[in-house]
Amino acid sequence: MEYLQQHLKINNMEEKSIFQTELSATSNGHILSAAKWSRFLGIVFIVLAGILLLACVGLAFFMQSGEMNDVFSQMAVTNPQFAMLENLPSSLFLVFMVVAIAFFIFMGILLINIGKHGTAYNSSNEDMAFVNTFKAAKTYFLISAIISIISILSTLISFF
Amino acid sequence: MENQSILSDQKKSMLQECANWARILGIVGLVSVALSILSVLLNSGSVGLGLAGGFVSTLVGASITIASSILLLFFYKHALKGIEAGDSYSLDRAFYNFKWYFALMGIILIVVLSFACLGSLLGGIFAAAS
Repeated sequence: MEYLQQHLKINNMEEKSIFQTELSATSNGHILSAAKWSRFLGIVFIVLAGILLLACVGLAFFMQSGEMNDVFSQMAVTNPQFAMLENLPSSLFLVFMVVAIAFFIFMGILLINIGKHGTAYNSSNEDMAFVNTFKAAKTYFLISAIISIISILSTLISFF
Repeated sequence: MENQSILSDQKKSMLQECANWARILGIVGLVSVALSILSVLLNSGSVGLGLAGGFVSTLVGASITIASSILLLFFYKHALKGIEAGDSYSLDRAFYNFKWYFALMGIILIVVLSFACLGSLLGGIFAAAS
């Protein structure tokens, strides 16, 4: 009887391991660790966006005083590359800063989402938490790839 | 360790999509490294000291990008193997690379922020002294 109970117990354990839909503890640990790092990166991105916003406000005041072109013309004396910046409209810098702030905030939110859902998956093992973690990671990789492709194209253009 | 049902279909498809984009980002990273090195070599005739500084910064940037690209490509490779074969060990390896990609980015960010803080502190001290 005891032998039979033990045999049934072993069979149950085997069935559980064959048909399990959960990842191993090692995988869960790796996902949790990635989530923690991702959350840290996200928080830093949001802080950087805040610093950029402050710089943007400073730049707007600086542009109103009309000293911007003087600075560029002084810089152009030592480095001719800045002569090109002198002729650009000042509002273009503000637009560039706003785009950079929006980019940092969006990437920061994505990274925080990876962290949030990754941590939730580790504690609950819910399918949706896993899916949301990798959905955010996919979007992060996609946007990073697009930015990298744009920078490659700009490098290629600079060759000609 | 073979296990066909370790991930549900929903999980499998999202992990595969994520791994595909990770591969694309990895490949794009390697291409950008090649281009930046080419760009530095093509401009090698222009300036002496500036070139040395540019080359060092390109080298540092290139090694970081190569490391992150390799992690992403390994994530793709192992994730695909884990999804197709239901191999738990491959999935462990995939998530290990996924973790190290974010850890590498975090460590680099900490180093960059430390240098930025140190630079602004030294700049402040020199400005106050002069």
